[in-house]
Amino acid sequence: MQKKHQPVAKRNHNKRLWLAAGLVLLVSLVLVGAWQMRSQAATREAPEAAAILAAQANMPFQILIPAYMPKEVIREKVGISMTETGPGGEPMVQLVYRTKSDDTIFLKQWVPVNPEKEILAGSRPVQTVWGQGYMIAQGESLAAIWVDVGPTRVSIYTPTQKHITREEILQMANTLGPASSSQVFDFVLELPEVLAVEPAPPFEPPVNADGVQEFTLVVTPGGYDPLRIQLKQGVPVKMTFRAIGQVGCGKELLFRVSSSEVIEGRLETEAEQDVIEFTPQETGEFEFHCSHQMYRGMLTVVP
Amino acid sequence: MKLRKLLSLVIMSVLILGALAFTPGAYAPVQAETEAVSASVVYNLYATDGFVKMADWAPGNPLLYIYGFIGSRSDQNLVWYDYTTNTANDTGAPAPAPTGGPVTPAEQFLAGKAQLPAPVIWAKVGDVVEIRLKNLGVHAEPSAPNDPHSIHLHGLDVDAANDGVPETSVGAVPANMCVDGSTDPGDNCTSAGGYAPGAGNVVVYMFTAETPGTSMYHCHQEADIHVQMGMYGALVVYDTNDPAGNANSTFCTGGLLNGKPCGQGPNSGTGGIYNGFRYDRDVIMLLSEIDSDYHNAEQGTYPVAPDPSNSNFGRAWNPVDYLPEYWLINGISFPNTIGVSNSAIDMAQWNVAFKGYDPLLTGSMSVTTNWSNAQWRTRGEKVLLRMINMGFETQPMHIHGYHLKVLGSDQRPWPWANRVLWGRPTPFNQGLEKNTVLIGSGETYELLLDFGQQESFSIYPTDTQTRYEPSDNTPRSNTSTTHPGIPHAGVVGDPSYIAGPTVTGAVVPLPDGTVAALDPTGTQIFPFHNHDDYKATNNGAYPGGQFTAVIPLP
Repeated sequence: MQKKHQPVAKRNHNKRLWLAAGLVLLVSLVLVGAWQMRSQAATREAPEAAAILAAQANMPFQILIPAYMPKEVIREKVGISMTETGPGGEPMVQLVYRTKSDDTIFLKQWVPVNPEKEILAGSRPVQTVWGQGYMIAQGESLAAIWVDVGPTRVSIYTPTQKHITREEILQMANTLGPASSSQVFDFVLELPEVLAVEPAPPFEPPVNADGVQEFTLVVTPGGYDPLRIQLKQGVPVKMTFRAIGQVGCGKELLFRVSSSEVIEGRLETEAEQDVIEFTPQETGEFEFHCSHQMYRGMLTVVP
Repeated sequence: MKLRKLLSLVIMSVLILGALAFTPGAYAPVQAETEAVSASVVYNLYATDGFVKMADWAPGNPLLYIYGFIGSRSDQNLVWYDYTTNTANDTGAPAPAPTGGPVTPAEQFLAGKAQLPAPVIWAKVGDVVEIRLKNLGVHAEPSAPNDPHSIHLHGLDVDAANDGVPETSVGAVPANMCVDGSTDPGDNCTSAGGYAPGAGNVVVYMFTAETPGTSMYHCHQEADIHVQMGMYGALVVYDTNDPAGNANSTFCTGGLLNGKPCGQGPNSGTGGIYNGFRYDRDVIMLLSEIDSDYHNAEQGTYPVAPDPSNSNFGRAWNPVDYLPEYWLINGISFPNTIGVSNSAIDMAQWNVAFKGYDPLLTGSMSVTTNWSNAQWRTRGEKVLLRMINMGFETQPMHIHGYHLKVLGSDQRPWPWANRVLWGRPTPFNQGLEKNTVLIGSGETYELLLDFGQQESFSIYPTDTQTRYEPSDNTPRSNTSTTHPGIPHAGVVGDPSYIAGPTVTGAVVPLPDGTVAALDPTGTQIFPFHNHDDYKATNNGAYPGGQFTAVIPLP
C-alpha cells in the first residue's frame, strides 16, 4: 500500500500551532504565578480589628496584635477574654487564635508591676526587635515567648510546634502593633532566626580608696550572685563569701584564681561570712564552683 | 481541529484555576469549634506556712506546723480551710495573680494559710498550663526558716530548666527577705541592706499537657523536708474529650452529663475514658505520712539534743530517724476519710475547701448510665481511682470486697489492661486485677473500681456480732431495727463507727430465697485501708490512718 504523505505546508501549520499553544500556556502560567505571589504578598486590614477595638474600650493599655501570623491562622475567629486579672489585680487580656488545623495561638497581655521580677521558668533570653525577650521551647510541644513592648508584657504561646514553629512565634512577637492601624500579612520573605542573647557583661567590682577590688559573692539556691566576675590583674581583691538560704554543697567554694591556684571558702552556718583576699596574677578565664560542681560561675582576669 | 479544542480547554482551565486562586477571601470554610481545642489553664499559687490538725486532735492540743501552697485556678474562687475555726472560707474571687516585688496586701492575707494538700491541678491534653508561684515566706511561725520554694512537675518529663529542682533548674523562688536573711520589716528592706537576690520573684512554670494520666506536683527545695512538711498536690491530665476535663465534650449536652456539669475536674461526677475504659467518676487517693518530729524541728519545738528522756533519738533532728505517726489520704485520716466530722475537722466544710479530694468511695451498684461503655455494658458505676504515693514509705493499699483493675501507672496506660479477645473487649477477670496494690513513693496508679461487683445490701442475722465497741471493749449484736444513714460526706451519729451496720432487718429473706423490703439507706460498707495495719492508726490508735470505706449504693 502506498504511504500517504501530508503536504509540507500543513505540517508546518501544525508545528506553528503547537508552538503558539505552548507559548500561551507558558505566558499564562507565569502570569498566574505572578498573580499568586502578589496576592500572597499583599497586606490587608486586620479582620479582627473591630473586635479588638471594641474590647479596647475596657482596657487601660493598648491591646496589641501581631501584623504577621501564619496563613493557617483564622484571624476572623479571634477569641477575646478579659476575665483573668494580672499581677496587682490589674487587667489582663487574652486573645485566642485558632488555625485551620485546630492549632491554637494564645496572646496574653498585661502590665507587670516589676517586670524583672516575673520570670518564665526554663526560658532562654532571645533577641527581638523590642530588645531582649524570653523564649521557651519544650521539645516538640510548647513554644512560648515573652516580650516587653513598652510597659506591656506580651506572652505568645502555642501548645505544639507541629505546625507553628518557634521562628513564627518570634516573627509574631516582632510584628506586634495596635489593631487600629494594622495592615496584617501572612507571608514572610525570611523568618527571623532565634538568637540567644549575649550574657550580660561581667560584674567589675570598683577599686576602693585603699586600692582594693572589694565585693561580696553570695550563693543562693538559685546560684552565685554575681555569676560572672571581671577582676584587674595585679590589683588586690577582698571578696566576702556568704550564703542565703539552704544551699547544700554551695557552702563550700572552690574559687580558682589562676591556672595553678584554687582558694577554698567554707561556711559552717548561714550567718557566717568568709573573707577571701588575694591578688590576681594571671589573666584568663577561670571557673569557680561548689564542691559538687552544681553551682558554677566564671572569673575573668584582665590586664 | 480536535487538538486545538483540547489546547484551548487546557489553557482556559489553567486561567480559571488561576483566577480562583486569586479570588479574595479564598479561606477554607471555618470549622466549628470542636472538643479538641486547646485552652489556657492558669493556677496562681503561693508558698507559705500554716497549721493543721491530725484526726485525733483534741481541744487544748497543739496544732501541727506545715509548709504548703495556697491558691486557685484562675477561673474558680479561692476557698481555704481554717483549722482554728474548722470552716471553709470562700474569698469570693479567684486567688490574686502574684505580683513581682514586695508582698501586696491581697497576698499578705494568704500568708500563714497553707493548705494540706495543695489544690488539684488539672487540665486536658493539648492545654497549656501556667502555674505562677510566689513565696510569701513564713508567717504562722515567723521564727521558722524562710526557705525558698519551687514546683516540681513529677512525671511530666519537662526539660531540666523547668523541672523545679533548685540544684539543676531555674532556682527556687526565695522568700520575700532582705539581704541579711531577715524578713522584710515593711520598708522594702531599705533598713536591712535591700532585698536578697531573687526576693519577691514570681516564677511562671509553663507546660503543655500531653499524656492523660495521674501525677503530682511538689516543692523540690530540700525535698526531704519540704515534701514532708506538706508542699504537694495532685495533678491530673484528662484526655481531650473527657467530660470531667472538658465542658465542650461531645458526650455532654448543654455542658451537662447525667445532670452534672462537665469540665469540673476530679470527683465532679462526669468521668472520662482512660485506656479505653469509660469511667463515671474519678477519685483521687493521695497518700502521704506525717512524722511530727520533722514538723517540730522546722517549727523550732523539737527538743534540743541530747535529751534521752525525750521520745527522740537523743540527738538533734535527723531525717534518717523518720518514724511517722500519721498516715493520710488526701491530707486527712480515718474517721475524717469517711466523711465523719470530729473536733479536728468539719468534713462538710472540708469538702467545700478541698474540691476534688473527697476520699470516700461511693457508687451505684445498679445504675447503667448512657455514659457507661456500650461495648461492655455491665451494671454498676465505674470509678477511676487515681492513687498517688507522695509519702516516703511504700504502702500496700487493700480493698475489701472488690478487685481493682490496673489500667495504668506513672502516666502510661498498661496495654494488657485492655486486651481484645475473640474480637470483643474482655474488661474483667483478666489483665491485672488486684485487691492489694503496693505503691512506692513517687508512684501513681489508675485503678478501675466496678461498683457492680457487689450488692448494696447484706443480710446480718439477728443476735450476731456485727460491731466491736471500742469504748467498752464489748461486742454489739444486731438488735436495732433502724439503719444508720451513711450520707456521703455527712455526719455519722457514732464517730467510732467503722464497719458493718449495727442493725438487723436491713433486708428480709423470704422462703423462696428472694429478699424483700430493701431499704435504700441500708448498705454494706467495705474497708479500704493500708494493710501495714499499724498504718491504719492515728499515732497508734486503731482505727485511723490510711483507712477509708467503699459503700455500694442501690
